[in-house]
Amino acid sequence: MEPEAPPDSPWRIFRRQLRRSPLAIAGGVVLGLFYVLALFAPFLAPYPEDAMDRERYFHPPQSLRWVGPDGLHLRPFVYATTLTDAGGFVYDEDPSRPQPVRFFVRGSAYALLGILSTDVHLFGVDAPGRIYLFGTDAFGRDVLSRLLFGGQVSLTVGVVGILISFTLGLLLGGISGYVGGLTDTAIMRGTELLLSIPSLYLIIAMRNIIPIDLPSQQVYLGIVAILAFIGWASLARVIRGLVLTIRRSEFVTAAEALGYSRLRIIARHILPNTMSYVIVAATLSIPSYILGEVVLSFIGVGVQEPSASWGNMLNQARSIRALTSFPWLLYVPGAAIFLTVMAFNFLGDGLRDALDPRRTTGGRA
Amino acid sequence: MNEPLLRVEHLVTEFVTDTGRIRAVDDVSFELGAGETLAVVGESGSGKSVTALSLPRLVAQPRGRIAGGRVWFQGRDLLALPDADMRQVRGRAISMIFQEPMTSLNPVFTCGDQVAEAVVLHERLSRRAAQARAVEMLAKVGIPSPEQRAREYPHQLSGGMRQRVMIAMALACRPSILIADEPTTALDVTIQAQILELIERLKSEMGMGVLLITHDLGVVAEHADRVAVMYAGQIVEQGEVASVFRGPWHPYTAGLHASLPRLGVRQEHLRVIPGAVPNPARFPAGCRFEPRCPVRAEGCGQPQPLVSLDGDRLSRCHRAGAFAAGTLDPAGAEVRA
Amino acid sequence: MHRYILTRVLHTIPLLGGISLLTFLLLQLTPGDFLNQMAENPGISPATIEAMRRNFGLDRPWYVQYGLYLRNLVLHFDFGESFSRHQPVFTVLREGLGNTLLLAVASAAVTWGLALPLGIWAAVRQHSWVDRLLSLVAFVWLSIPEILSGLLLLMLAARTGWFPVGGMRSLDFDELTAWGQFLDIAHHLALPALVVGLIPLASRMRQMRSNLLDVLRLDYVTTARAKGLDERVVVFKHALRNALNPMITLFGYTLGALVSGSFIAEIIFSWPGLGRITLDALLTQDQYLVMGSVLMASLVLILGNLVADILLAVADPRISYD
Repeated sequence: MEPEAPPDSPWRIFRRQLRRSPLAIAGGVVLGLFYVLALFAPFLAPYPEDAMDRERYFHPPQSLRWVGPDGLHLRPFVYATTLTDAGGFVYDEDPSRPQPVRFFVRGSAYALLGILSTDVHLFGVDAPGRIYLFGTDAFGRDVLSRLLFGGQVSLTVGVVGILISFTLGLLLGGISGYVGGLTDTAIMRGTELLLSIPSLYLIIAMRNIIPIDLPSQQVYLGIVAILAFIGWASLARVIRGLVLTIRRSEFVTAAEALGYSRLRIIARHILPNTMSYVIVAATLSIPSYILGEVVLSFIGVGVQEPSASWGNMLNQARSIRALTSFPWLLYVPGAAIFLTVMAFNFLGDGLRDALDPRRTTGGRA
Repeated sequence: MNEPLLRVEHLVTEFVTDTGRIRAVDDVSFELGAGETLAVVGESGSGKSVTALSLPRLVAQPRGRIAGGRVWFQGRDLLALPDADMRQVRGRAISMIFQEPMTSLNPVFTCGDQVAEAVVLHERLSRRAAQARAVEMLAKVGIPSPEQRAREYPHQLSGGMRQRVMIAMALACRPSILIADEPTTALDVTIQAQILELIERLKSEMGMGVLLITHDLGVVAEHADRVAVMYAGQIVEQGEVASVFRGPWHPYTAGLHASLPRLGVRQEHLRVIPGAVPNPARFPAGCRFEPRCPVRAEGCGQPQPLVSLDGDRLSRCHRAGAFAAGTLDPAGAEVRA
Repeated sequence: MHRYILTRVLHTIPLLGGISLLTFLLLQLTPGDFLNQMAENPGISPATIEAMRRNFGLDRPWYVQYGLYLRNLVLHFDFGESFSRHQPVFTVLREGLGNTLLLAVASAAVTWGLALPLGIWAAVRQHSWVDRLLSLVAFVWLSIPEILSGLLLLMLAARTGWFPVGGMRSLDFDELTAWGQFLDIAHHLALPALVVGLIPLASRMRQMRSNLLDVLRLDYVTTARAKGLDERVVVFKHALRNALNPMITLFGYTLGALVSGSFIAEIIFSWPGLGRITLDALLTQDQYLVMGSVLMASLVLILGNLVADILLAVADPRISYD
């Protein structure tokens, strides 16, 4: 009989399992890319989110070209356009006026990562030309730039919201399950209350507490707070169930015998054992927070104009006219939202499989 | 014996797994006559249950498939029948009961309905007539207050009762053959005896042949006429129960026999067969029992055919002749000449 | 069984009470009230505003207002008056609720009408290309948010003209025959019902598939086959009955959740349901209309859960609630 190899550490097992899921890795990569893009939004965006180009409302996306009437160019370029139908917002490309794309151009000033003052942007064209890779909206604003800035809002809402609501859910669920008695009943009745109201109705009701005309930072925080307030309830219930099981384990009794405080036992001994569930649940819940913000902004009570969010960009696409004549207003933010949600779902599924105890212990469990 | 009810010839059943193709049943042959009980005995993994499932072609597809052999019943090879004809055979001519009565009965239908269903299907009786027959059958298997029980659900009955319901369901259409796959393993000892006696009684009343799958040698001794011992997918010994138990002609049978505790004999330790069943994905080419055999010798590395030594006593050990003559003890003990 | 239903119903009442209190408090926390907009109109004197305020009872402390509200509600089924529409709340809500329920039922039909057959098909043809394709489609579809599918379908309607782009009735509705009216509403209902119905479709389908696969592995399915039953009978009579049981609970819960889910569809397709009314009411701070609306939506959700639990108890004889 051969000697048994020492069992792998949980971290090793996790990494090995995760590698088996190419979709999850793809999801993670896409998300990483999106968050980096959002982080460097002011640098990557050729224009500020609220810069209006009054001569180019509803401008369609411009194609990057390398081949012109005079052959291959070294540098990519776009054609300048002229407005041929003011009423229908139809623009024609003018092959006589190619505008080469320049890199590391100087543009509007901003603070990179919030600290470094600069005015360098990744790309742009010489003035007075404009480059609209994703077109413009009803106010002549560059859709690509708004997409990037909007990403900052929409992508972080999920993460911040999760942090708050999961902290709440873990603590309250943990206390509820461990302490029991009246506290348990009270907390569970509270969650039942919250879960009995259809979520969107409750969200809207709570949104109304915050005045419409606050500065956008505070509106943002308010929205996150609302979403988190709704979100902790179902997690708390699940955590409570898990805690009830874990509570009967011996290491908990040992901790109690050592005289640890209840809070310490809950926080440091019990809750870490729920981590594998929590990580998966968090990953799979972030999309609903992002969508919560998108919905609120879409109906006009979320992030307010002129600040950009993917939600209020979708609002631009709502009219019949936009849907038929200016579809990029839907496709661009729609694709971004869709890819983000799908990436989170892939990642969450992959994490769940990787952390599944039946897989990690090789069926010995 | 007159013409047997069932004749199985060289049955082979395989399963496809991640690690390769596994032959759970490897060249199994036997006959079953009317009014007799043939026991198929072996450990878990010996292939006895798969053999039982193969006869009515209930092996789980597509992973499992019957890869060879013939099963002659009523003049036809069951393995070659089209599906529709096979379904006619199941439940009507050949019935099967299973080990775990709780999970083998559908929890959402009443017991009466489940028994009646077979009748409606095969004999085309009206619902009313089928229900009446169901109650009749429940009474026949010894269930008190059968009308009441017929209206109840499986979870409302005890384990022994449920197994009786299974038997009633299997025998409702008066089959010629009953296959019983470990019918009493999940029951209390006292109930075991009742169930087995019930099966015996019904067997003689209806003139059925019973194929009894079990791992319990005591059950074999009490209730079977003939026995086939299986090991690692093959039959290693076959014959009449009395003579096989009196003097086994295969080391495995002897080992099984010896491991039973005996009344009146003081034993310090229970005797076990050392070692373990071989990995089905990698059977040895020769005798599959050889690594654990107390009397292994030259020649055990060759593939061992099943040979007939005395009428229908069969053994797969090439030293069986010595066992029969009494010059060698298959359990490996010293032989006092 | 009756005792169980009774306890559950009794349990609902304090729950609704809690919800009404919560909603009321939320509204009180909202800065200003319905009369804000009026106050900004220079044509209306402050005195008039004050009089209106007193008229609507908005000058009393909040607990008094709440007490009055509850008393009216319980004794007279009076949900109060809608400030902006000058109608009893109940009247305004009744029609909206009806329309939302219509949408919810149609959506449920879409969901279950597709999820069950597709799930069964995928289970019976496990590992085949059908199964894999359905799995993939399910997964991708799960990721499409309701807003996007709604807008995309609206775009489809606008571009092809196959479906109306909003509303519940055509302009010439009143001149249509009864059958024509029915078809007209169905025509308008099609896209929103599709949008809402497709949201839970993917997970229901996977659930059905997985339940059926689990049941097909069980012993009593082998018993049924051993009896000689046709495979179709085995699947549809023996296996499906058991596989559907867990889905029944889901059905009740889904119905309740559809009320919330129809919110976005109602906005996009201008469907005159509870969601639209609630949104308008909130934006104009029409207090009683909001409260009545949230209460109604919650009631539907809670009732859905109750019905689900009862259905489950009826369907599975192993479960007893005594």
